[in-house]
Amino acid sequence: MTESFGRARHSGQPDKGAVLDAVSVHLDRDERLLSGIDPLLERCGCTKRDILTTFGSVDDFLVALAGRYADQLTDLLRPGDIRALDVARDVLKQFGLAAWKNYTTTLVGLVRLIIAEGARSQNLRDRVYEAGPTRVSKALCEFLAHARDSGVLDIADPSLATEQLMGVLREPLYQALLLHPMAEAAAERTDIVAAAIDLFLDGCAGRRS
Amino acid sequence: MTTSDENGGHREEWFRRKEGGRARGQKVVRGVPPDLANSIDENGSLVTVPPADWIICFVPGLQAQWWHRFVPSKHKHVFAMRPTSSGSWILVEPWWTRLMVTVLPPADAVRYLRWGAMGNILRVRENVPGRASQLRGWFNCAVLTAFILGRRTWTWTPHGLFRRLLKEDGTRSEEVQDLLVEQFSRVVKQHSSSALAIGADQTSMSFEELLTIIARNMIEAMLTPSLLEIYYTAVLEADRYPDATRIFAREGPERAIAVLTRMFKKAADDGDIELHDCEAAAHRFLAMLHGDMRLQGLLQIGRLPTPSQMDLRARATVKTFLNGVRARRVPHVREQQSLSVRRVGE
Repeated sequence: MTESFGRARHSGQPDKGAVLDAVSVHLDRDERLLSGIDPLLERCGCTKRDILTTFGSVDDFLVALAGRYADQLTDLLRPGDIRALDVARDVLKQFGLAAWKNYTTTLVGLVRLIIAEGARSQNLRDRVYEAGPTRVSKALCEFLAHARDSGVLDIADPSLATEQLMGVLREPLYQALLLHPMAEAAAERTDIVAAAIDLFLDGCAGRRS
Repeated sequence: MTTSDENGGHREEWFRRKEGGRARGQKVVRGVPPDLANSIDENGSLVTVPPADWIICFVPGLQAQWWHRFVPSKHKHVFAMRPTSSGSWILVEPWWTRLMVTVLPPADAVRYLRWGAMGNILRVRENVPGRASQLRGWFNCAVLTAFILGRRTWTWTPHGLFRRLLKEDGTRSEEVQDLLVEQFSRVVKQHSSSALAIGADQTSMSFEELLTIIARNMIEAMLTPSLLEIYYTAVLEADRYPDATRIFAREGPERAIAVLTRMFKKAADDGDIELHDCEAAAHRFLAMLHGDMRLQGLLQIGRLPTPSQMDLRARATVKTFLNGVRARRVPHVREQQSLSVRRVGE
């Protein structure tokens, strides 16, 4: 049993955050997660009963896990006043870097888990998508719309632009799912994300000119 | 795998049918319309279908049955499967109470094939017109499977049929991974080829127009239900059958990247764009184009876009991408995955 998970279990009060923390440490792109949640729980040293006690159901646990990663990303998209393209660029690079890192490691595992567990429930897939990708896309879309309204970007359709950018940032996820994982070196990651954000922003800003 | 629904097979079959005709000496029942009568082949069939290969799975039981004690542990049941050209599988499984004949999507077919791998899987070509007899009686799974294959055999057990088929020269043992690799390769290659083909009339188009057409074709291909099902299966089975997953990647996304890379190189040579790393740009373009569709396809949620939405998506992606590439930016990216652009006029 991991230390944080042990604390969560023995504190008397179910601590969802501590459980999610403990699980996140062990969530990587292991292909065995395609067989379901058991290999993950085994690694965390917890049982399905622990999950049921803390979250009520395995589905609620997975939705909470997806929501946790979405929180991490959406928190980066609250820039306040977007006065210039460089401000938008900086915010999006921070966001892109965090997203890329997650899509290279933990979210690969989570998506594999959802594909495996979601085979039994369409409702689970819908809820996870709503709690995770939809929330992130919504926050990004609002950010881009705000940048457009501030005159920084020239975007005709913020939701389509959101999809384009999220598509680029999810590239390591898709590569890993098809067994071609991308390099994880931090320096490389920074450069790749910077290039992707530059291409996107220049593509949007270019229309105005 | 030889099936009559492949393009080449179809063509050969078409010409053979035109050349052929009713076998001499056949007596047609009165009242049969002349055009149908003319279609009857030498076996009394209205269509002549060449013999196909079947995947015959000899399997242990899934649920305990009283009679299991009388048959070998790994061969308690037998059923037949056959891949189609669209990625699905035909399943013929004898039950106690019926003969289940259905078409399975690839992910469901893999479950049956995995069951097959718990016993033995054989590839066997059916006999046409066959030598089986309806007078056998007691049509259990072994007898019905032998009947599908057109085999005259007196065996009553799956194991007996297994030993009988194994003695035939053309019979081959199969592995699930090899079967998936073969099918994924054929189906994905077929879709990729049609999506990425550039017609003779398109070579005179501008780079932007051509890229838009290819982009739209790629979206359409990616959203083909059979390809979405294979994509889902390739990801789902990555742990068990990694070669099948890799063949999907090689024949699908990697071929698209290769074609886009060549297009970008040519455009750069022609002076339409300035790119230092065309392959990285191809990755980025494809990712922008797919947007949320890949994740939604994997999780089987969302709605398929209409043709006009696909067109809009393709045009918007091409516009954003080319604007980005043509923008005045200092090249600053070092790594292999990077996309570099030069200041205009430098």
